[in-house]
Amino acid sequence: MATANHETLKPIQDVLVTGDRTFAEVNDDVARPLETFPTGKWWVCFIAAMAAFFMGAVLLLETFKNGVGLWGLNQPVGWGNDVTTFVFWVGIGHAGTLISAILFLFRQKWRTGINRSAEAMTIFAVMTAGMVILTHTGRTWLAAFWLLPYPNQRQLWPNFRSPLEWDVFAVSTYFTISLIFWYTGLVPDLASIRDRAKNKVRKFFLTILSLGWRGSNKQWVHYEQAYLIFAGLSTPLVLSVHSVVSFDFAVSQLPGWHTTIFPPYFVAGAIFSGFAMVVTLLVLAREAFNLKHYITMDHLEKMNKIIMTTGMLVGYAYAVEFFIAWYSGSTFERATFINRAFGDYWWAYWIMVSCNVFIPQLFWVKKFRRSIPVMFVVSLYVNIGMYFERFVIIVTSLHHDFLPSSWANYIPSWVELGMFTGWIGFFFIWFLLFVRFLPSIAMGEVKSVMDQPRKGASHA
Amino acid sequence: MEPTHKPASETKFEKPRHWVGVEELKPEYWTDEAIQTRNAQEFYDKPIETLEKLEAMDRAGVSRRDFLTVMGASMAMASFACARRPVNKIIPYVVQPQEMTPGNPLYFSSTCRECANACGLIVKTREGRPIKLEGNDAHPVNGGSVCAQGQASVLNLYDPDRLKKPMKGSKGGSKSSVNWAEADSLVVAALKAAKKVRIVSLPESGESSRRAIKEFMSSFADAKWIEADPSGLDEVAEGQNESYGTRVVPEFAFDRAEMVVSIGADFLGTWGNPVGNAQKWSKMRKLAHAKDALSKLVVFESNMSITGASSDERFPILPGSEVAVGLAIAHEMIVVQKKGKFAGNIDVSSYLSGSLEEWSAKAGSLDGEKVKKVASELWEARGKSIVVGSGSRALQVVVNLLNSNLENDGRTIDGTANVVTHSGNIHALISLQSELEAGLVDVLIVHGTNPVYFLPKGQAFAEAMKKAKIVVSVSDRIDETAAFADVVLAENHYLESWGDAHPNASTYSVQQPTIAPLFDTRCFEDMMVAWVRGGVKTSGLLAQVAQNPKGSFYDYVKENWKQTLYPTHGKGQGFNDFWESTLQVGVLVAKAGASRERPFKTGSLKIARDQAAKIKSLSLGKKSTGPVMEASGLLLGLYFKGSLGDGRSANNAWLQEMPDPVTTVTWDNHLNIGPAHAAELGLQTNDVVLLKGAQGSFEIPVKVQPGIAKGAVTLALGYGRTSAGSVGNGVGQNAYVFSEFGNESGLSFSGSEVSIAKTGKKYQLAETQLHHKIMGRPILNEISFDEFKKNPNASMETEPPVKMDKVPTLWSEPFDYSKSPHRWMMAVDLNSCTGCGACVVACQAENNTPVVGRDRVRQSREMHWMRIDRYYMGDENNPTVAFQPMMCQHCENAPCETVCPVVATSHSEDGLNQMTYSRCVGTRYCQNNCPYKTRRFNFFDHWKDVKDTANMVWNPDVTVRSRGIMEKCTFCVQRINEAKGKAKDRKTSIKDSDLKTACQQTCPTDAIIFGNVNDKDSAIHAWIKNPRAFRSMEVLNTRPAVHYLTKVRNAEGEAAEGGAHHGHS
Repeated sequence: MATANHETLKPIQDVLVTGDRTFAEVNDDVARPLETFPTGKWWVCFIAAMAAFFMGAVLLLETFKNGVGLWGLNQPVGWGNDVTTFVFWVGIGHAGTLISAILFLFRQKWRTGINRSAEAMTIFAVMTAGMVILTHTGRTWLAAFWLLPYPNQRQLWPNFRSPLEWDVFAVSTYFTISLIFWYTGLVPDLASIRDRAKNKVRKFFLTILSLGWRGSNKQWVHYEQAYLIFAGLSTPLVLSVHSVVSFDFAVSQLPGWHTTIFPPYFVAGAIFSGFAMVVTLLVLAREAFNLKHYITMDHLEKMNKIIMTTGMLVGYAYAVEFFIAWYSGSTFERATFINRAFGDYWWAYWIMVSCNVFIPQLFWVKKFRRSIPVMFVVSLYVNIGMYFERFVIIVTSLHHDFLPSSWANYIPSWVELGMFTGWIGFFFIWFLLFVRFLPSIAMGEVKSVMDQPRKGASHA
Repeated sequence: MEPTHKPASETKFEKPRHWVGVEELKPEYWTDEAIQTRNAQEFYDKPIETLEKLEAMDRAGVSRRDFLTVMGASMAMASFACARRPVNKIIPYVVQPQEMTPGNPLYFSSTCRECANACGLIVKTREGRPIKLEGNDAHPVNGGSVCAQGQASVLNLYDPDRLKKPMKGSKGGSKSSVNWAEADSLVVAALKAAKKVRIVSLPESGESSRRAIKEFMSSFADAKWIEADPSGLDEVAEGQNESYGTRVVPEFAFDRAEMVVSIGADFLGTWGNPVGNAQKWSKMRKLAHAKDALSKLVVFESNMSITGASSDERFPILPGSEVAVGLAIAHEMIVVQKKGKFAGNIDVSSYLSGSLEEWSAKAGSLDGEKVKKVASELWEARGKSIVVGSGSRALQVVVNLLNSNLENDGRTIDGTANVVTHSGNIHALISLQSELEAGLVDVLIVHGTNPVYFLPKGQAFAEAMKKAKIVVSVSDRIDETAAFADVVLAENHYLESWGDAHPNASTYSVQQPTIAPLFDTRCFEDMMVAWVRGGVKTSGLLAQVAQNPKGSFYDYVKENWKQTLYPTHGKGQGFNDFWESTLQVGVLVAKAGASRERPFKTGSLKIARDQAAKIKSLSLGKKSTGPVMEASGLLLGLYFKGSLGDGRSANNAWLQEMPDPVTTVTWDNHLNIGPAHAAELGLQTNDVVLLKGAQGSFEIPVKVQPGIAKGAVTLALGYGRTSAGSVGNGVGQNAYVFSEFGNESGLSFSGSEVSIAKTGKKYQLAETQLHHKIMGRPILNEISFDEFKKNPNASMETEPPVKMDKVPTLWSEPFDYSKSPHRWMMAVDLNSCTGCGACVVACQAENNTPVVGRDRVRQSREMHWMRIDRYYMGDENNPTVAFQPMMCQHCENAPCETVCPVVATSHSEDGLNQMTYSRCVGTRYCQNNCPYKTRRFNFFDHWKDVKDTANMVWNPDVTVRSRGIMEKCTFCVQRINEAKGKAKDRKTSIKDSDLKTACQQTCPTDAIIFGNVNDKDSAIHAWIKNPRAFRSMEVLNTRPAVHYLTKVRNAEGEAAEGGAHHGHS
């Protein structure tokens, strides 16, 4: 896929960019938000995100000062909202790489309109997840480096049998690869906006970031090869990261956690939640920055189909878990699953099932798949549902485990709910800065799937 | 060393003038090659060639030295952000005491004075601080065990709320510190002018103290001494007096009793000498073979006590109807079945006239058939049974009749010993109050007891106290009573004072101080010495000691022993030798007189008959107007708890946070009501009701408690202190307002009529266990004695299986421990465990386990390393109960170990699951993955809550944990290591006697056995082979080191609903 080879495009192929845009107009459209003073809407969002983050940061400092006892955790429930939030963000981080890497390898050209922002979302989500999991420990200041295998004179070494140690590698590898992959894809676009930059400072930084990109043929060849290699490298990660995250639970022996279905179930759930978050963000972004020609209804519809498919996959997993609990004959397993659906946290379970399994069924109807309000609301529900999925798995398994004598309920404290909000703020700060400073549509790639470089020559 | 000589190859070799080793005298040593090799071996001095080679290398890697430099810098930077550790100065002794080596403990014998039982103690001190109390094995009262209150009493010593100086002020008004000279002169002036002197104290069993007080009293025209203990056994002594003409508290030989019937007496938990009782009782509960004997315990009680919970058969009765139960059994045995020497006795028959139905109905619909059975079983076990009862004198008389009829008196019950412990004359407070009100008392001395708190009308007593000329309080704090004193004299803790105790006929126990008084305080007897020295005229030993300007109560005790016990027990040795050897042992055990049967006075039954006639039949009323529900006619039973007792140590945080073994509630008292009745009244746990009685009312939360009869409500005493200190003030409600002085000689705690009204408010009780059923899980196991006799292995044949010889696994054996010298294991005999909770507090004291407070217990964040799980089985209105002490199981396949990312928890080759606090980063994954949930996470820096002197109680051998890290039971690894060290010094292996964990050490029933299974002679080696031994949830293949031994209930047929037998319960 070199530069746009429009002669080979068949008219029967989907029109991926609408509105008869020329190549120059693509650049104009994408670069406009970067070159104008942010709109009022952007500022409102940014200030809200900053406020949320600031609140979270203050609460986090309080937690550092006093201990994680400020949260609602107790002796049977060692993980609650903290790890739920971690898995939630890691899950969201899956859509980006899936869109960039797997769809790329499968030559799904429609990915070009959304891959940049999806990847950015991935990176910010993984950053958030990393911060969450780091700060959930009792002694963050030590966890920050004791989990890394660095040589030391005390001859201490982490425990490679622990799934938490696997997590460290899975998440950090995923973050590194995603970042490099994303940055590689950004280079040609950075060069484009560098060339348009009028501000000296701006030009200076963009010059550095674009690594001397001139758009020569040779550079494009190298670029394409590098991009392909990174896509190949990232693809297994899409499956591995959330599998490893699922091992945090599957490797334990707690009923409700100790299940072999977890890796595929978690991956499906991650893609599900990731796509939902992409839809949430893109629906907003295409409105705010007028990118409707690039993120078209067709794009959104395709994503909605994936949401519905993966939603049914997780629904299947929910059902299989119950079947296996019954089929295992284990007292503990059965009690855990009965408790999950009908115990003290029944509401969380049914929120999860409703949001993840029932509500996405709306997408069977084409009208709903192509309706912005419907998909926005559904995607929000899916995000909520996926938060509750992790909450249900973590909390309902822990609060009623083996010995009835130690059973106790977990109620999140306002501190951890505030921190949860803070992490959302943290994510959106990055995302808002991203749409402000970097091209949120992969201009180079979009041009490659456009029919015509000139106005009025489109077949559509 | 620089080579100053040229190598041999060049010139002729010259021997160095100064040489370090003989090799330097040889020329080879100085060749270039040898020098270079040597230098290369040095850490810092590399040969030039090597350095050059390194330099020439293509900088491909980082040199080790560079790496360390960078690491050092990064470590320095990482630690930059950390706060400085607090500076602690360690100051060595200027003159080190001869017997003391810093770091090594010293042990002293002493006597526990927390209650009247006077258990023998071995006090562990470190660097002069008593830090742990353990029972004295040689002591007949407690035989090596101490109860929870005793274990916790060391914390009272360091209570920061203790009085630090004497105080003076106005009665009920403010007080200010004075020095002793001023306080003494005040008291002496008052005493010199006094005619009527009254002393109120706790019952005192020490011969020396008794003598001193009596000598002191002899100096006044009219002096009286009132010994008032609300938890005392005054009624038992009075009842004995009625029936046998001697005022004694008898000794009960539970270790010889095949059948024990308790009517309301919580003899395993709070009644009499619970430690000794439990110890003896448990001797008849150990089962290893089908032929072994098992005693039977039948309990009739209104509240669910640990005695009832440990019983084989339990009958919930109405409070106040205890005497009816006694009469029902006596009637059935003597009148109906015509058994025993009183059968046919016209007197007895007339007192016992009536019908079984009548008595049973009064007790709250008792099943007559079952009472008949109890009566015949008792008769079968005659001479080898015990009937005990609590409370009223009337009940005591019936109990005495039963015991005499069953020929138990003189066999299992020894009432010949003419000693009065545990009982005083609390009734005399009534006449004291009228004397006070009449303004007749010149000096009132209140020592160690707290009548304003525990009298039903305490405030009236306080008002009366105001009319005394002067009230002197001898107390360690300004408690409720001391507030109404003119002078409050700061008293020592018992670990700071000399004294002695005479707890039973043959036992003389020495109370030895183990630390100099922390504050400017004195013991009561030293105060008397000071007063006598100040001019109060007296005679005898007290005057003699006071004459010596340095004389103290220590001299008094010694002299008293010299005069009384030394002549008979000196065995020809000098007094000093006798004294030293007694101090070393801690106790002098004299030869006990032979026990004999006493004639029972049948006339004493009259009071029982009269009392029983007064029992009103239950008339429950219920009014509902909208949401307001009011129920009347309930009968209230007040009870003592094993933790707080009568409330004297309410400021002890260990006791406040000790979960009640049955209700598992900490920090508050609550109104217990049976499930059926609660459902009828629409009450749930945590509902606040207004409890109203004839004498008072207050709001109190309800706890729905299985095993309480309909119409009965029960409430714990010892709470509601207002001047206990920062910990105990305002915890719970003072239930003493519902007690009353009837015709009895002591306070009556049972049967007053109350009403409750729902307030609509909620108050969350801090319970440590919120679910109470086993849910058909293979956690613990129970069978009936019948089944056990048929097949001792029967208890393992359950579904799901509680015992699995081999769990299918993919993995090979984890580690062959048989090759290690030690393999630590523990066995817990569920059949002997009474759930008393002494182990919980002992563990807390030994392992510096923090107290977290009410709110954090509500959040399920209690930190006890050891807990007593309690499960109910069967009918919720009268369930059977199983206790399961639960601590870290030290699993071979420990689920916690694999999941820790930083290896903060690991396994030792002697089978310990170890926790490395300093490595823990607090992911809490280990806790999540622990099936036994025995890991405890430090959510906060709990040690910061420990203030002032309370810091002195820390055990220096155990790390105090900071926040953010996990902790758990270590099998007292500090004790294991100490024993290992000692055995190594001795060049022998560790024997059972070298090592006991804190919980095992204090367990009164020897339910916890710990040791090295690789030692074939160890007790643990035998116990884990017991047919009753299993491990909790073996199906998980965690292979715990802790084994449990099946509970065997001495009931007929199948066990009620044992552990895993049934699908769910």
